[in-house]
Amino acid sequence: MTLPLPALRALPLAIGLVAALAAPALAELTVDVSFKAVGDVELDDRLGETLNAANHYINIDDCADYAAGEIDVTFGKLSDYILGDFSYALMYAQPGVTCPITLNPATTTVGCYVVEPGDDVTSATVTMRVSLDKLIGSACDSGDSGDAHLYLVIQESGAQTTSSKTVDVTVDLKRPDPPEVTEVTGGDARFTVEWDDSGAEDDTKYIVYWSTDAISDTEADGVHHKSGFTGSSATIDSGVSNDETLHVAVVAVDEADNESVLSNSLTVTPEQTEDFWEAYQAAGGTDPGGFCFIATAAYGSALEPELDTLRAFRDQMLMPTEGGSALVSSYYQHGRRWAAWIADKPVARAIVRVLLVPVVLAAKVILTFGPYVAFLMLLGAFALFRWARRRVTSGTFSFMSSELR
Amino acid sequence: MRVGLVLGVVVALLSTTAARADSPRDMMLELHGGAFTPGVDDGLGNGNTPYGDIFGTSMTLLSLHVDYEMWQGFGTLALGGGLGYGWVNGKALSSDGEKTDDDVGFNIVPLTISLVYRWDWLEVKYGVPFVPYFKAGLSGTIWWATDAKDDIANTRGPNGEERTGAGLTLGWHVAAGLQFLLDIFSPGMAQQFDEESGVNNSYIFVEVMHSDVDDFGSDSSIDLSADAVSFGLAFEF
Repeated sequence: MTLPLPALRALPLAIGLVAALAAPALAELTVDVSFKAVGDVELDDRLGETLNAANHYINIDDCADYAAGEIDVTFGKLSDYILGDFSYALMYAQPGVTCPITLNPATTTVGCYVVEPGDDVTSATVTMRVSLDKLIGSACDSGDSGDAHLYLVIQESGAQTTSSKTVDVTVDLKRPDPPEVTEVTGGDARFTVEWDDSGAEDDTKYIVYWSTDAISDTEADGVHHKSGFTGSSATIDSGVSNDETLHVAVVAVDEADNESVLSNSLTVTPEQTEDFWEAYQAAGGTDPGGFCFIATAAYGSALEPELDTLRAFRDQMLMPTEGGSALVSSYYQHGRRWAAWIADKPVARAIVRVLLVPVVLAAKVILTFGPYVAFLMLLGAFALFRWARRRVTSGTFSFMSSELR
Repeated sequence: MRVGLVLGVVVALLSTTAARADSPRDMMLELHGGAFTPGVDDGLGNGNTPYGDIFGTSMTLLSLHVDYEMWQGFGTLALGGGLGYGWVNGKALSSDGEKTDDDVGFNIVPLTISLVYRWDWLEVKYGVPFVPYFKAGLSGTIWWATDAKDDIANTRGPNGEERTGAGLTLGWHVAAGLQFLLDIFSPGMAQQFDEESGVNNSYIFVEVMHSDVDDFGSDSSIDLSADAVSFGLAFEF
């Protein structure tokens, strides 16, 4: 039989269509996935043993730590498939390779490792042992990066539908580029370092290193660091002394926690500066600071109920906060002197008592209802006042109108 | 003379269109915005200028004032209170007096109690849209200075004692201002504003205030006295 030429040309297309129709359709399985280390391998948070973790990473350090190691990958929640006539396959592929999602896959694909080509589902969980070296698929210093895949395939006997679960593991063996430190400016026991982050990925974080000696080894004695910075600048304001020349360098950290090599280093010498309060004191200012409304002196007795309110406000509202605690500390440093100052001045005491009235009232409301409710009550009281005033006004007008009638 | 004539004509024209809304009025809310330079440097009295050296500019001050109109006759007498927030930022100084990159600040929260007299008789009687007013009262200003870490500043006194850069300083103030009634531009809208929210009159104003805030002349208080000009909106309801 001889086929006409047009029919011959259409043959590959027809074969493709038939093959596509005959291939089982794919559906995503909803199963649990967990990792468990085998032997001496210790999994860190990047790869993780958390059930159904969203992201899995293997970075350069992990690559070294996991050498010759294995993990068990368990797919669970398969009880629905036990009673039926279901079969499953388990396999994994190194980065840059994909396995055919089917039972009894061809094993000729380099980098695709079939652990179980096809077996009946007889329990609610199935486990495959994965060689981490094979999963990583590259030398740790290769600079390669890509996603490895873990597969579970399930198919009912005679059915055209294949269900599968694919778990991606990002194997990132590429260090991020080091940032370029562009400027370091010193302040009072602090410095600010800026760097060029152009070209960095959005989720890059940075570690700032500083030392009085030139930095060549970030683990060396005397090298300090602070991590977790984003953007292109950071201010270091703890652990910094004035009048010491510091070498400052930065390291970039990518999403897989790979660290770049150390950036270039610049130096800075933080020096003491004078803020306004220091300048005021140095210029002969005599105000000792601290709050001078010494309630005890103003009220004339330490047993007044208003003082209980203020003490409660101090203990419950001010002390738990950093700023409030500082104010209270200041109060106790200077309080006695100010109390003595106003104690023998009746006018000053009277003025302070008047000024304290709204303070005490506000403290009572805030202590009773909390700051947010107190604020809402203030708004509500104002609205109620306005409403009542309008109602009274409206009623008065109505009464007058009826009188006139 | 020509200016006076023009002003007279304008006032006459405006007064014919102005109309006082009907609902009762007994409160005034003022929203102020302005700038002032506290007299810290003058208060030192020794030629040193720490405020000028570090900040070199005025503080920005936003505040509100609410008063209750106790008496309305030949003008309005009211008692009110105010609350504000003022701030200024500058650069800390190096040991040789040069500005550094360290940001520092000075903040105030002025609290006031004032007796207010507004001469609104012409406005009530004849619809003249200008209302001069005067205020006098007591002030209490909470203040704090911040260091380069944005914490409350700290230093040592002459005897080594710790001195915290925060406190409350008392004083008094007087003020004079002029309000201009906005309702004349749209009496209908003003009437609707009154009916819907009870606001009788809306004003813009300018106010000049002299405050003497140094704990009534205490030698050991920071001097926050100032002459300040503010502008704003006021609503009578």
